[in-house]
Amino acid sequence: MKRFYKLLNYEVSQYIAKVVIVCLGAIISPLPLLNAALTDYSNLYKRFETIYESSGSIIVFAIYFAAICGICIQSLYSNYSGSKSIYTLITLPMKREGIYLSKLISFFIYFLMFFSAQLISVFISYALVSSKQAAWEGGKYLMNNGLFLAFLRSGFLRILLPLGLEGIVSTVSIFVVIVCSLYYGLLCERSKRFWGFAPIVAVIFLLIRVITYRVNQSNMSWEYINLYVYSIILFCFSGLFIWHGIKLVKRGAIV
Amino acid sequence: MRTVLDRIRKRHIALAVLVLSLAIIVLSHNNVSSSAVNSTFYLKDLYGQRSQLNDVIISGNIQDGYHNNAFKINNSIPQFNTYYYYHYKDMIPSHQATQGFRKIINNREYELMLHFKGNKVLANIKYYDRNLGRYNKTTYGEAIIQTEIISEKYTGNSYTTANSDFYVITNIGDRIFFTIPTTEGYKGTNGIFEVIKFSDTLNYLLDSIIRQEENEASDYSYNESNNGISNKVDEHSQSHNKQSAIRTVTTFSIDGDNEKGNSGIEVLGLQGVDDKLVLILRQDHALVFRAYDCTSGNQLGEVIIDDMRKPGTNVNNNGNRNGSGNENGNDNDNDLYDIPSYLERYEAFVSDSTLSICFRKNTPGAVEIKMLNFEVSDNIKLTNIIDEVYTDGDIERIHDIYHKDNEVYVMLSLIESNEKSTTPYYSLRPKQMYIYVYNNSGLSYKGELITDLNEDDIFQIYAPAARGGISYNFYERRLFENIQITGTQEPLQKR
Repeated sequence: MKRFYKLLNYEVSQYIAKVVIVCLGAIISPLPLLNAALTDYSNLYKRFETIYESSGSIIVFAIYFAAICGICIQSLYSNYSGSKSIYTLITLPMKREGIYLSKLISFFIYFLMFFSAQLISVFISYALVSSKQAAWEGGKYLMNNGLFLAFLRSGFLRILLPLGLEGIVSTVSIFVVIVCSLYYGLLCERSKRFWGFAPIVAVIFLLIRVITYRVNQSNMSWEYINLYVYSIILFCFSGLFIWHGIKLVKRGAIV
Repeated sequence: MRTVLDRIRKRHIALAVLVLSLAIIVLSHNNVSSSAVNSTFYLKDLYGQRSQLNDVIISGNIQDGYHNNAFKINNSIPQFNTYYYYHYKDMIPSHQATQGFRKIINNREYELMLHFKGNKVLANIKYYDRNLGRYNKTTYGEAIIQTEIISEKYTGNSYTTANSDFYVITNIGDRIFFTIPTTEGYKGTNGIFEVIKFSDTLNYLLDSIIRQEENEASDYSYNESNNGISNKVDEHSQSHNKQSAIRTVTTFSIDGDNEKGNSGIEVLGLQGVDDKLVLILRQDHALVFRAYDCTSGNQLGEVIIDDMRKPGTNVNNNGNRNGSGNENGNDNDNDLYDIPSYLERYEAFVSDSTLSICFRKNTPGAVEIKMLNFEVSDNIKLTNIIDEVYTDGDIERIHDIYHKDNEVYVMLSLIESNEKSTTPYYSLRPKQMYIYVYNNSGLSYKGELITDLNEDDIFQIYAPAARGGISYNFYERRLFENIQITGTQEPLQKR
């Protein structure tokens, strides 16, 4: 356990500087974008979520999200280049599961950091927009409790921070399966087991279905699906990926 | 200090950032979800003592497509709980889409069509299942009965009734009752009918069979076709009747009394109250309310109210559906006539054994309403008449009326009137929700329920004028739904 904890600290500390930079970027970038969207005040009467979405902040989120994925990929692949530290890793005097999990958990920590930074970013963005609205013509554009309503009414924010239990379970399952699939995909590629991408493709289809469903909640003709069912399926896939990932590491197939 | 931080950085960085990130996420979530209670929701006293509300519980919902603030005003204290929606089907069906047009009982949409066989009137009642948001197979049912009403004026698809079918179809629990909204041009004997069983086979051939038969009949002697229902229709409705059944609960004459110079009786509506049926009729200037037992059909009593004037003309129904497309179709037609009068259209509210009927009248700059409150038990008794004039705005919607003894509670929303309006769109005008309490027909309390609902229109009110109007999406705005006023002693029951 102690060795595992040490290894985890080592893994996290390796790329934490880059992740912190990405997080700072995620916090700061929407602010100039929102400012630009509001310069001539012609958008100020709109709701916060509309201004936030149309300012391009979601595109910025996607870019930083890709950057975090990139850092995770680099974190694994760097073990194969230069000093080939992967050999050192798998010869460490500890259980192979620990080697697998230390990397997986470090990925989770990176994504959680990014996720929390994104939330801070939304709060700051709301403070910016609402202060501008409050200052304009006696605040006639300002909505009471606008941030709460934005987290309900915006498809993006609703997935980022759901308020009801069904939504929370769904978001956690999406988050877990993304990280697990990413790691599993990399392990499959390293171990040349390319059929492993088939379940990943299935997960991507499921993710698209769940995310579009939740974004399009206001679409009346959208067929009803039970988010709990989809969450359980996604958790099952995550479990499968972890189980098989550990197996690959144990067999040393990833070398 | 420095060394401690250094040690954390070197040895515990993973745990430190994990805890920090999770803390930020959990705190953010708490912050946002706890701000649900920051929605404005309080009662502002405008007249009288708030303690007047202590005898009732007012419950209702403020919903948009994403959440519902289910509220309750108990002991005069307003409170609400927030529930989240994930799909359209989670929403409480919107009242706006249905008021005055379609009769919806237990998620089924009912309609009543009249068919004319010679001068005989056939009533055809149908329902469609409304399972919104799901692609279930639509279920359907209908039933036909030949009535003893004689049509003097109408023979085809275009006919006039005293009121739309919204008002004449009613339910007691799962039992469906209806009457025929006859007006001038009908004679004979009308009735109250109960549908025992609906047939689920479509009977769309009925009209063409009747027509075909009329054509044939016109070739023969007139008398023959007049001989009641003739063979083919008879066969048809009989084969149909094997699957469906309608029971006549009671019958009543709609002929005028020539000796007294009375005109004929018009049928305005039927309303189920507890296990009684209240029939609403008009004769000359009088409104007649008759109560019947729903099973035996015995008349329990009658109330006649004399000072209701008759409108200039009747509502014209074409093929039984009044197609007025304006949102507030309830009250505009009346402006056309000089005679000040109440429309046939009324709103009925039932709680236990009480019935409140509300008629509206629009005059320039004000809305007049007349509320009639009845106690329906072994008899029907008029308990209160309230005449009220609202000058603050137009009535957007009367949400509920409840009365107990001589106290009447009214919940209604007013919308900025046309003259004062700053926006060209009716639906974007600011609305206010009021609670009124009347004691012995006099106002004893008036309060306003203050909410944020009007703020949901900001994004459209201040938008540059759009060509071709605005899109009104009730998903994006909070609306009041399903408001009920109940006594504190009685269990809350769904209507």
